[in-house]
Amino acid sequence: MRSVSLLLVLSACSDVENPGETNVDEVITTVTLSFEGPDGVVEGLWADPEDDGSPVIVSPDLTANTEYQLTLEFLNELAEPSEDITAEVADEADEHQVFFTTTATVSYNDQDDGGLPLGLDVMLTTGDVGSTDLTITLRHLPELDGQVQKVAGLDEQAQADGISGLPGESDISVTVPLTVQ
Amino acid sequence: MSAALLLLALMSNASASCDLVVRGVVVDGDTGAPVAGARVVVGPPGRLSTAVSDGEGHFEAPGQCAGFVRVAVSHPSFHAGATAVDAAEDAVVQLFTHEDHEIVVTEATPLGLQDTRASVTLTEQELDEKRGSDLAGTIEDIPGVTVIGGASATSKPVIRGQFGRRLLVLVDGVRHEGQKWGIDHAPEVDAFGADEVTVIRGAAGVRYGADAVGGVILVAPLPMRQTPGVDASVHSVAAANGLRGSLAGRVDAMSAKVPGLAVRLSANATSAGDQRSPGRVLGNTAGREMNLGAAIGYVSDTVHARLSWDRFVAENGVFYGVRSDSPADFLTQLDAEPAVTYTAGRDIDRPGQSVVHDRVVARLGVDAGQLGHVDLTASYQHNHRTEEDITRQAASGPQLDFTLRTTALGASLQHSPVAVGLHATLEGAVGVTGQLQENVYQGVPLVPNYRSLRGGVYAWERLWRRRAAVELGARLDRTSRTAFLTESATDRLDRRGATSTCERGDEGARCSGDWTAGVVTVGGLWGTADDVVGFKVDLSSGARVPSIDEQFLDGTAPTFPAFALGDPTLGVETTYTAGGVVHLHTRDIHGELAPFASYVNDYIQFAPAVGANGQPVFDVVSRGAFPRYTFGAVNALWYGIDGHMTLAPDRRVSLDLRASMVRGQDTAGQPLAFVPADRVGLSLTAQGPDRGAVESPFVAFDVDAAGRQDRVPEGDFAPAPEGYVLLGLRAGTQLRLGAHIARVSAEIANLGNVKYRNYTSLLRYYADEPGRDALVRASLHMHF
Repeated sequence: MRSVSLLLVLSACSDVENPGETNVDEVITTVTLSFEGPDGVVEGLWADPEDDGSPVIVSPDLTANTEYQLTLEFLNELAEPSEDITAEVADEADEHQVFFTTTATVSYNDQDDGGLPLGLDVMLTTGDVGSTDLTITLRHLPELDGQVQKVAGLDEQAQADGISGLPGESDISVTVPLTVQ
Repeated sequence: MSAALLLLALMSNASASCDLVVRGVVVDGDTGAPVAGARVVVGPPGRLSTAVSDGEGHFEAPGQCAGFVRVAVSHPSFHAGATAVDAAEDAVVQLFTHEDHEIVVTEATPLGLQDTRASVTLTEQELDEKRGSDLAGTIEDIPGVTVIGGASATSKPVIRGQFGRRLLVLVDGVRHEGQKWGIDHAPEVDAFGADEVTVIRGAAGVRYGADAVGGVILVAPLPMRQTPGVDASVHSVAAANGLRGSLAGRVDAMSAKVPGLAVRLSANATSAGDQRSPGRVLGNTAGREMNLGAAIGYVSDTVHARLSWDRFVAENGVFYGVRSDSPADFLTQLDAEPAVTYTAGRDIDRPGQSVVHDRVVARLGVDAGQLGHVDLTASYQHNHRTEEDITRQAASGPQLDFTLRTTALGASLQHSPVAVGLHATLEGAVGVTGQLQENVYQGVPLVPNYRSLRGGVYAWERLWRRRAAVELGARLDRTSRTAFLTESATDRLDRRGATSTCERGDEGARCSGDWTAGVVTVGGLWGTADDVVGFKVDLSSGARVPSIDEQFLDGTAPTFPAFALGDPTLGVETTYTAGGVVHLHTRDIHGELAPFASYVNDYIQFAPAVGANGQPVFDVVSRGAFPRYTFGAVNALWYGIDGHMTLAPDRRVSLDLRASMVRGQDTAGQPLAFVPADRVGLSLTAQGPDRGAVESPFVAFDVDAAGRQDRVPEGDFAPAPEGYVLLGLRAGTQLRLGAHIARVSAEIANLGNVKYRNYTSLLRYYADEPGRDALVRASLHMHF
């Protein structure tokens, strides 16, 4: 078998031995939350840079019954160097929308060209003292089979029936606990 | 192209002094021309003699004793055939040819006592009735065979509940090597290129590879031309569901100026639009497939050589309704009425998959005289698969990109039959194989690159005595594989504490494993002298090395809402199988029944992970919480029975019955996943008389029923679908136009447009299977 093995090894190519971390441009591994309120900026974070189900979560401390301007950033930290997806989402605003599932009150500040909400920039008003979860879902709503999927009323539908009843697919869906003092 | 009746007249004079002479003639069934240069081995009892047919096809084998004589006919351009005749009587043996050039002995071995396992061969005529189906669809009516479907118009074959990693597909004698671990990874095989397809049910590891624990599918192309002239064939298929169409052509030629040198060119294309299930368009299930092939061969009395290349190109959409991005979405759509109505079209959109498979095979066969026959094979396969997800517009290209390169060498020596004592013959072979395989993967984290090197040696011997035989075989394979992990994959593995087999480098790691896997088989077969009853028994052990995905899969499965984790420490999976076949062949009944049972030590299964608290484990990734599925080893038991029976096979109206049952469970009694439901089928066929050019016209009514799979493991996302009954109607005939043969047939499948789902289909989570389909097929085989 030795000669056979030798022959076979001769045909081996080296691209096998140098695996590249490429074509991972679709993944979102990290969401940063920036809450701008009366007392300055508070940061929150959900990050799973290895995309292996062991996320790092930073829970922001917020003040009760206060209005914050919440802006979101989406990053792909699997790419080398890490890639900011936020601008892509903004560029394709007509097929994306961020949904917020929480007991706090959320209203959209930004819209796509058609006047439908986008959700990279929202107003969030906290409730009374306590802990609550904020689930952020970036929904990708591309045209499917020639039909537009991003339509008016999706936020109301999500609040009533939950995210999974929406058209499209979730690019990310992360939950960050909020501590309200 | 059937029913050209060949007569091989065997004449002998009774004598007790072993001076009988067996005489015969070998004829090409299509043209009626004698076949020169066929090697005919006759004997024993007593003495073996080898004869070569002359220019008129005649041969003589003197020195035969009274009693049963085994007659084996082989020729480089023909599939080999063998029969047994009683030399004490004047015997006339009928050999039918079912297809171009092939000699198939039917009369003298009606029990099909060629292999010690349950096996079924589909001939060209039977394949012509299936043209336009993929490989799995072509063989799915064979008892014990089912298909497993993805969410596109592709399917993969299942034999006795085993598929993918535990099933071998050999194309032209070469192990087909593609990505085969995914449920939507259909074998990249040109079904139009098959001249004969043989399905062996049960472990067949000695000859084909130690991982052939479930069974083997042998796809054989037409042998190259052996005489000057031209053969051509054309197939066309049109189907209503999805408006599918196929056109296939092949030309074989040998010039009289260069006798012995034959060439072949083949090409075919299939285009399919979106399929329809009852009341619903399965949006984005359109597909396209194209195959090209070329071969050149040389044949002489002692040498046959062939170099061939073929390319398979396919592009398939994945059903829009497949939503696996988050478990919540997945679970919601299980119960919801489809919200979106898709329009039927022919465009292939994201999500989708594309694959290009090239195969180059060089083969050399040399008649080594008394030593026997030597075969040398070298092959290279290049499999490039990409899978595209729905992405943001800014993201381009595929999300998964696999390149699998496989180089293989094989050598075998089939020794000349050896007389053992006065009444028995020994035939057998020894062989060596070597294979280098490299996988290059790019994309979202899933599987690593790897290089594997495998070598094997095998031998089998079969002792024939009249209509009984005993077979012994053994094989030893050594596999060495190194996985090359990216840095992030290594980090992920590190956190699971699973890098014990890995050598860490500056960037990433190398994880190596070596395995030795042995196979032993003992089989036997016996038929009564009147050919009414026959038995086969096969006992074997098989061993399968864990595949790369079973060891290192790490990520969300592309078409299944689970977080899948491999286990680098998995060992060899060892299977012990006992299988039997009982044949019955009377004037009124032809049938066979094949029970089997396997015990699998360290059976590798993919199952939901359960935590210490007895609850399912979830992994939280950026798209939500995914249930964790892991590969793990359990001891498992498989058993079942399959068979078929034809009543009144030679009458105008005949009834064919077929049934399959398979059970799979671990030794704690937990059912295994993806075990096909019980199936029964019935075909009532009315055959018309031959009239002029019209031969074998028929009309058939089919009923196929599947039960509900009640034996399912815990943790499935949806209950198993209900059982169903499908009706079908077929009609066809053959036309003999001089030397040419045409076959036309029409079929309506799922006549009642019944809504049903298949337990072994991924589509069952999302939509009903495709509904009614009407097909028209025409094949023309020309000989010049």
